[in-house]
Amino acid sequence: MRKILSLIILLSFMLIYAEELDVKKDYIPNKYGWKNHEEQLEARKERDERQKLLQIYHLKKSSYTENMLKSAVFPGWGHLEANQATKGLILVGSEIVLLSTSYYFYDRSKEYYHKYQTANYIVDIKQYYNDASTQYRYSKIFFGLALTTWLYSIYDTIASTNDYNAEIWQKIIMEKKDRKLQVSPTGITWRF
Amino acid sequence: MKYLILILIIVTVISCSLKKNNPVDPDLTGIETPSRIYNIDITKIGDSYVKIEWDTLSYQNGGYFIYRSENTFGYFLKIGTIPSISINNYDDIPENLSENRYWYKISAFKIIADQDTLEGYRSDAKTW
Repeated sequence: MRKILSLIILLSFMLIYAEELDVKKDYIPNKYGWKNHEEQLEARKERDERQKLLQIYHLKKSSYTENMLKSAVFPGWGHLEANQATKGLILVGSEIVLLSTSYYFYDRSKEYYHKYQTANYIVDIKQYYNDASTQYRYSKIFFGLALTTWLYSIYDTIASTNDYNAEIWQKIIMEKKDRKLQVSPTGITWRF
Repeated sequence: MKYLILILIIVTVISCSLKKNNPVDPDLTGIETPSRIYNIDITKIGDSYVKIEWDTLSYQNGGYFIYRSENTFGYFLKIGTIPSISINNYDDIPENLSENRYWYKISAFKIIADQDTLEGYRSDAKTW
């Protein structure tokens, strides 16, 4: 009984000294540069609006990791996804041309190498080995260039995706601004 | 990062080269290449045959190859193999000897293991 009585007294004190939650009380004028409570509310509204826009942005934006993986699988694919078709096609084309050229020289090198392996005449032995080596070197140079293009494609996907995402964000912001000004057959409406 | 990739590619391109694996390649086996044949003497004996003579070489397990062409810079066909290094002549009986002139080249060869041969440099083209 004494315990219940003590609890009631404690609760009564809490209710007496409890204050009503006042947003205005938390208002610190110099912290965010607000001049009054209305400006704080306006800022909050603006923040909520930006959060909504961010949600739209997250839905529309392109993923760096995904685009880089796509470029790793097929150079230029990441650029195509980031709306840079010309660059993507140039990279795909370059990669195909470089790899094909590399394979062409590799094939020729194999042919000369086979001739070298079966040659008995000293002039043929030297000549076929030199020819095979030259073709093999060309093959490796083109393969090296293809490798560079591949790595560049992956590396550049980051910048392209970044540009694409920045563009998306700008578009969302512009759409928001456009929504305020609506032109209709009945007249022009400006929404504040 | 860019330079690292570039260096990696350059090293990859330069470092690898084709392996030599011809069993008669002197660079691989260390075998000395048979010398070029000098002092070749070609004599047309009437219209019946051509006698070819040369200076012999002095090593074991080898011989000579004889080549013939209708032009100095044409294709030289192998017409004979002499399986001994000590033999220094060859008689050739070509067709239409009375009408045509023939050029000859000779080279020496060494027999390496497993019946593989290493043929040395061919001589300059010679005629009678």
